[in-house]
Amino acid sequence: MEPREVPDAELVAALAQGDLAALRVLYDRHAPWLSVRLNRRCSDPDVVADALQDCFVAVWKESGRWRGDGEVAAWLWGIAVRRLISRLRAGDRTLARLTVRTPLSPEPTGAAARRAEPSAEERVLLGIEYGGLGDALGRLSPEMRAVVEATVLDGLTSKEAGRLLGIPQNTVKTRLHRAKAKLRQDLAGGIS
Amino acid sequence: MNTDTDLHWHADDDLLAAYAAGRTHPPVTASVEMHLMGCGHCRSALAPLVDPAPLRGVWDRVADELQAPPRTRTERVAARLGLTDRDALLVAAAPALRGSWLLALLLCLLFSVTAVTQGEVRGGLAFLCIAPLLPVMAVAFAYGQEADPIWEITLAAPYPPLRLLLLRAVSVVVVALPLAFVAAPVLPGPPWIAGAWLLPAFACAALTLALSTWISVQHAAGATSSGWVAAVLVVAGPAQGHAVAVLAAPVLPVYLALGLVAAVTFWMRSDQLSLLRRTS
Repeated sequence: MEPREVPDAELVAALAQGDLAALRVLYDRHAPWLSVRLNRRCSDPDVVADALQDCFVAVWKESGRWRGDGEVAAWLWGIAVRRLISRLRAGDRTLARLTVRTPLSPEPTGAAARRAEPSAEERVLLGIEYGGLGDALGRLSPEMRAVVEATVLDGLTSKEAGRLLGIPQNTVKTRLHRAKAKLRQDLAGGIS
Repeated sequence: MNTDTDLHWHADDDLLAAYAAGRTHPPVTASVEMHLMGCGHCRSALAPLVDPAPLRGVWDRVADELQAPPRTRTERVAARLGLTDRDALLVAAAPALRGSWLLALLLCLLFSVTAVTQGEVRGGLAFLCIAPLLPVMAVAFAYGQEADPIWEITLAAPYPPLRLLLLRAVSVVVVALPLAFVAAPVLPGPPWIAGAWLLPAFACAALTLALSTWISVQHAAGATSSGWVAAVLVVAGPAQGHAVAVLAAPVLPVYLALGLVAAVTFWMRSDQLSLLRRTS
């Protein structure tokens, strides 16, 4: 990033003054990664586009709710993923609901394979060691992993995660409970 | 030391490209996503890897939505009552809900009330003539070339005319009926008669709707209104004080039957509610 760029927080503050250009800058900066991440949560590009639109309209209308601390990106993601959930609920497109997120090409070859493998730095970022939590996560069933990702990484409540995944709230809790037990067991085994 | 790594490590383009294309394994995906939340550098590096066309489309829709004229109060009320945005706009576009129409309605009722307070006989006559015709006016004002400022658009729109007519008529009746109830208690006669006028009102409205499948809505409303006023005047003719006899208990089932027959007729012939026929 160039040092002279206006920080996100100032742009959000400018929204309250009705500065549409500020929203445009925010959009150009954040819409790409938001759309990629939303696409990972929902396989229907139309629903993702609707959620992204709702998200930035909400940002414009409710910029006053920004408390001024923390990452703007995290705030945006919180809005975007919840808009996605309400779009999924309203549309009742059960087929468009989150499908199990497996990589498109499960066996990448050559250089791509090495690239797709997590690097040491990535492991450090998550606070995980090689052969530790990362592998344990990889060994979880796709259903359990989806629950862990929605609740732990996306910061959703079990109710919201249930809506995103199209499963009852109790199922989310059960799967999360089992997933945690499985992770603990795997990690304990990995150390020995 | 850990924070140092956090600050200086960045995902390279290949990793970001794999992530954008959905080719990364779940632990890597999680790792990248966590990193992106806190790293503006990697977010900007990811941006060129995303297909820009859909993003442009979404921005256009955001800008459109933010710059669209704010919804009128009528539209907001209609939307809160469960109508879709599209239906709310169609309801609000009927002149029936404009201020002028409301004002006329109020004046009309005011007229009835003052007439009643000034002279029971003639006032009662005025109320009996006007009150049951309110829903008829509602229907007449709700639909058709004369009433609709966006008539040409209505014509071309793939929207069921039956639905539009009923939607708008109901929206007017909802406004008109409470006002009529204000006037009803001053009617001479037993208390239940204050509500009895709803039956001829229903019959007249249903007749108007049924007729509108043959002739224009405005003509249908005119015919029904004339018929009703004539009936009231004939009953009132021999003895002025007995105009209220049009609401006498034995007559009421007749209205009900008439209204039901007309409603069924309208329902069965509603596909005749052709928009094109009426403009020719």
